[in-house]
Amino acid sequence: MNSGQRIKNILIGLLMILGSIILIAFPEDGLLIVAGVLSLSLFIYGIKTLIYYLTMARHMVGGRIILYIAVIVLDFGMFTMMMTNIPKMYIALYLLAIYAFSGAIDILRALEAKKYQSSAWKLKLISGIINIVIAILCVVFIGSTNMIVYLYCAGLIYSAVVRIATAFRKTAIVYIQ
Amino acid sequence: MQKDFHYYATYCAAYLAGYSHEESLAICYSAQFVDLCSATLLSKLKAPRSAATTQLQLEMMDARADKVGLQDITRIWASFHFLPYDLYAEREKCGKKYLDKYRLICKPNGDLVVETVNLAKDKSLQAAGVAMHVLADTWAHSYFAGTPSFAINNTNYHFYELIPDGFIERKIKFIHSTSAPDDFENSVYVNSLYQTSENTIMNLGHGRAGHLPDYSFMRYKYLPAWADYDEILKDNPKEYFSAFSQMVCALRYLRGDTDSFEKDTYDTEKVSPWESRIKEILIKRQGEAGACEDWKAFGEELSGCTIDDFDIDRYQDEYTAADPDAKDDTFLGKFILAALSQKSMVTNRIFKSGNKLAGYSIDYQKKGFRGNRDFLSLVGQRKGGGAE
Repeated sequence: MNSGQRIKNILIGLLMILGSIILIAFPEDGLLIVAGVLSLSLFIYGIKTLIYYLTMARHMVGGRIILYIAVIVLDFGMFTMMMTNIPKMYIALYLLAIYAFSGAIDILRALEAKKYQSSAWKLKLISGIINIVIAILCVVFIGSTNMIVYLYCAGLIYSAVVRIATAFRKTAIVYIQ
Repeated sequence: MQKDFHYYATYCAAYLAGYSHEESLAICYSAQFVDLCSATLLSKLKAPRSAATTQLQLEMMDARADKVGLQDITRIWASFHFLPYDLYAEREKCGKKYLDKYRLICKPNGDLVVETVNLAKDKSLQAAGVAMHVLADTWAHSYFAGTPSFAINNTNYHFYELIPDGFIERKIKFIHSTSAPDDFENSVYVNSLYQTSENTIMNLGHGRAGHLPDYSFMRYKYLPAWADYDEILKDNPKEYFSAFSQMVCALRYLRGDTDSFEKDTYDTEKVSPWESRIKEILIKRQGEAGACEDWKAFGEELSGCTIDDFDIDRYQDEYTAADPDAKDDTFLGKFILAALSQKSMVTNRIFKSGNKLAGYSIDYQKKGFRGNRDFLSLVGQRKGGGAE
């Protein structure tokens, strides 16, 4: 990672933490923002897929499928952005899927690390259990606006911290002749 | 390639190249260990995780899909399993982003394979083993890249197996069950999931073609994603035989029998007396276990000694019990140095070609020591303090 990328990652990480704090402070309006972010993500994903088709997939065998996906996702993103109110349940289900998947992977990784007698397995297991607990909380509090916002913010802060930590990692490989 | 070739066939190649039974065992153990030396295992041994030569399935699933995570993946798979053929390859009307991935496509007889063998010259037997793994995989893993890429590594429904009896073409059916074994009788094979995301690990290496490149008897034709609808015919028995002959050639050079190792050279002199026997093993339609038995029998016939089964734990106690200063002199310590050295060289070549997919490389000669501290041990090796 070069210096520019490190600075960019730190700034994005700080902005994510700041955004999370604002959301936690004003959870009632937060849900609308979370819904907006999710819709915007879909729209951006459509644009990114279109760029991916133009730069990469158009050179590949059967790459036109990417163009079709891009157009459909873009269309869907624009459609959802026009909806004034996305049901809370969709946001909760989105969070549920994210946390349940991460939790399952962490637990499987922990079991694998344990099989190899690696000392890192306990940390992974705890992380997996926490993710599964959060996924369960998403189901329990499916009707609570505040709780959904808090859970979303927890994930956002975690991603931000990882992003900042990555920016400080020494990643260059030393070549010795 | 799997244990049959990386362990038993490499033993046979080393013995034919003139190494003793014990030396051949050290070389083939190291060649096979490349497929097992994961960050998880190294963390258990309290060894530098940067020396990882492979990734466990779950390690990859757990890896972050950001730039740094992808560079970690690419460094491992491009350095040890999918050595790039031409880092300066050109293709018309393609942007840099596409070219960076296109240039990582693996094929035998590239410049980097010569550098890989030269890097192991006058080093340990473990370094020779690592080099043999890399060399052999350039044959098996041809036409795939050691970086996740849908645009490069994907395959589609046009995939046929060529059955030798009457040379029948049989359409291959791919399934995605990791627990199901490959069904040779009906040409039903396990491959990775179809995912249109460019950087998902499902699109790493030959995952989309399942284990077909790993079976020595396999002949198939398909449309690689990058080849502009040109069909490729992969004749594994022929290519595995070339890999074996090239390994003997490279090992004779490492042993000091010949003065240089060049591209596209094969040791027909040492191999020809055994050609029909080797080809018989290569074309036999069987799984890994059967192929291991056949190669083992051949190796034992060659040397008259028993070839111990591969045991992942064999050298671990020696490494963990050694004093910190003496670790580099243990079997695994020498393997780790060889792995770091290979990774450092390949990353440097990719970086120097203007491609950042494997990360950043700092030239110690020009800038001194900066960056990942795991590579500090290479400085000691260069100054004569490391392993022979």
